[in-house]
Amino acid sequence: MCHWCQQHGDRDHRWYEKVENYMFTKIFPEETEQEKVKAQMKATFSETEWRYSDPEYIRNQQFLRDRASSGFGSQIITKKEMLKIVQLADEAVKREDSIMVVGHCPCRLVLEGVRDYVCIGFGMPVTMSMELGYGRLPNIGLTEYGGMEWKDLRRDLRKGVKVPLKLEEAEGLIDEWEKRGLWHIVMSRGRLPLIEAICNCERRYCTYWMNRFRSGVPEYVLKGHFVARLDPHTCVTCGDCWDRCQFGAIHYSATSDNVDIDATLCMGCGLCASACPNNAIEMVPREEIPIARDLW
Amino acid sequence: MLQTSKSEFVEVMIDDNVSRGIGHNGVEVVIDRKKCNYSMYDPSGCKKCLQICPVGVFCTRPIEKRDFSIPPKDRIDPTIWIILATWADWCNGCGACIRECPKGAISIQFGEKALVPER
Repeated sequence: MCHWCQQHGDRDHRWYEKVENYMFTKIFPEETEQEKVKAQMKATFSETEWRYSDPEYIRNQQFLRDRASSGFGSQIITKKEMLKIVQLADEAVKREDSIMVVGHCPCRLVLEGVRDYVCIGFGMPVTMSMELGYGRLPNIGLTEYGGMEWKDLRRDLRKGVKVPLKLEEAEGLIDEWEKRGLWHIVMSRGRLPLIEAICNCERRYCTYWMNRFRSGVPEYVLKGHFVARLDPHTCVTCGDCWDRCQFGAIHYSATSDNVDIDATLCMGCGLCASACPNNAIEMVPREEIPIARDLW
Repeated sequence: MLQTSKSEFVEVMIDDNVSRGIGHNGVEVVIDRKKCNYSMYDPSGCKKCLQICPVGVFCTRPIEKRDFSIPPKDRIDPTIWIILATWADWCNGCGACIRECPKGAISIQFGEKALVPER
């Protein structure tokens, strides 16, 4: 079990498999507390770009460690788990009378200068705090490249116009992102165990990846609950998995013409398994692989 | 106007003329703000340095913090964004940004070697 499962999960469910963890009103039942959290979100929201780009924040190890221990938690998940999460979120959102929305990735905005709609936020707090740009673009598509033609729409979104995302649409989008080769993260943004968003990213544009591997704060994003295992008899060494892996866990040996997957480096995103044309890669629960069991 | 921001790895200094990122390992990335025409919402503003850099040295952000307590008409224009070198110490000296920049706005002091745009 990972740290978050020990704290926020139970015997049969991982921390992101409990529907209560998606419900703002279950986690903050008192109204005064709810107001406090909302005010806190409003205050920090306007600083998102600064927090992701300013050395005082993003290059400050102590700051990142404090944040990680103050309720920021995220974990890499496979596509299958992600579909489960979207279903749970949809259920929670319906119970709470809130909505699910797709929004642009703030990391990509800061590091690439592009608004790429690859995050799904759900529940009341996210919907509230991500007022800028969050919302499905009606009849236009989901990716916006910051040109003048989007001006009116952006103005509307800034005013708070939001288009809820349906469950089927979310599932379609997840397929699309998987095909693009983006890994998936489930995250809580400062209010563990409240799960607020799922996010699809690449190593190059992911602030969370940077926090873990460049700034050395591993608790910021945990490895997934699965590890990739290769069946060398089925594998034809085509190299599709190798193209997808962004964590350097897959290696090719020219001498023996074999592919190895290093279980200690595998983050469990499952991109290699979905790319494999022969289904030679299987995602095995981390508990079953002794060498990787305690690596989070 | 001078903004400075510092951590143990990198220091960023931004004034009206240059946006400077100084790494702890002696790398200094300087972006000439007079030449660089980047702005988030401007279609003619390029972001080639953001996209070409293989290690992601550059970041972009609004020129000032947004403050919702100020009435909208007094706020600074939120469409003005700037480029800064937040990850300057990760620069590997390939010089791709310098070759890519159409305005020749970027120059790098890479240890003892100075990388400047060709005239």
